[in-house]
Amino acid sequence: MEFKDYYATLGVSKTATQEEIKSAYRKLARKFHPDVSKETDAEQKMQAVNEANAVLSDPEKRAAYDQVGQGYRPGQDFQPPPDWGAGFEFSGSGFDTGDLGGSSDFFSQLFGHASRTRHSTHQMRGEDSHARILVDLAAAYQGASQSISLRVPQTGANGQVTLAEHVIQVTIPKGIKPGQHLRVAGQGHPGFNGGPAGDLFLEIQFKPDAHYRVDGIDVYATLPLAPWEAALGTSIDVPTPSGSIQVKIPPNSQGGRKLRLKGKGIPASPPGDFYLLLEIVLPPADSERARELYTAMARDLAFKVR
Amino acid sequence: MTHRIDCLIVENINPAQLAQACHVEVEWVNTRLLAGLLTPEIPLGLENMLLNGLVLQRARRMRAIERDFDANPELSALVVDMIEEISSLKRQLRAAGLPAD
Repeated sequence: MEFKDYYATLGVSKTATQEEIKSAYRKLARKFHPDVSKETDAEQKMQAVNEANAVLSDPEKRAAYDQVGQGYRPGQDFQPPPDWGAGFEFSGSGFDTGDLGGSSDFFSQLFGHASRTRHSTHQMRGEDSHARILVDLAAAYQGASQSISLRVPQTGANGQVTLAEHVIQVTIPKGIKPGQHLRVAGQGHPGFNGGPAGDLFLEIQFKPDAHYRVDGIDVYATLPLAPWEAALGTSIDVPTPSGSIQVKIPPNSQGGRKLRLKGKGIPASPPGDFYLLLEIVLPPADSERARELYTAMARDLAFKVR
Repeated sequence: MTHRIDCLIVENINPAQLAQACHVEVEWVNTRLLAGLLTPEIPLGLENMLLNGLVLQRARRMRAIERDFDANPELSALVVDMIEEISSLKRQLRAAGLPAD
């Protein structure tokens, strides 16, 4: 297990005041907020910042951390001393450990035992945990199966808490939509003294798709048309996530027009709609014949574009 | 060893379940429901109320903002309103085939 330098994580000195720690934490919380940060690993960074703040903003935990961490460098192999925890009373984890991988091994070893022994006299249900998963749009139409790696706290014979990796294969039902949650019963944090485990909540996000866009339960696709198809009307086999559908393009269709295929969006309850955004693609005037045709249209069609 | 587990879509959730999932007291949920901060409609009764499952995302966002920035509930609701509005506008841009980022 690697030693973590919480001061470096927050970018403060070892003599920082509580006000300086709070200020540094807020700056980083804003920077790595999952809803605004453009960084790909913003969630992981936010977890690290939360963990550092949970220790350094709590005078008891900070004192204990300073004591046990004397002489350690970041990344150096670390084991807490055998009598670790004696003389300190921690009032809980101090931050939301509910997200998967919410606390590091380092944090769990130092403070996990204390937070779990708080409940030693009661049987209690474990906390619910959360994760965000990325699924293909196809999962919304057909359902899917996905592996999820959980980090589950385990208390060893010596009372120390470690995080064990636990892989589950979840069956995702069809009809899911972005922002919705799935509940996986009994896969949250373990209960206390024989109490039931909490549930795992999975927040659904769709992976970007090369062909389709999703807005709530509605699905959008762009349908390129030749000018004569749009002008004269036609029937086209259009691929959708639920299979190919024959679509009638009305005569005199304009670019940007939306055609709605009712009920062909995400099969939620009620189902969403599937929209085709018409895009008229002009053939290039790159041959003598093509130029002749364009010239004939310019001459023969009474068409004012402006 | 891999376990295969079925999961259920959270279509509806009551205030107690919402509180449990957000690691807050039920009182935290109830005060924000009564203030109209979690859902547009203000409920008449709370105990048997069933909320749309999508409220879970909003509640977790609000809780994180209140915790991280010592924000009051109204301010966190305002921030989440704006996050949701921006997300909606980006979805509409993408739906129209336009770049959103």
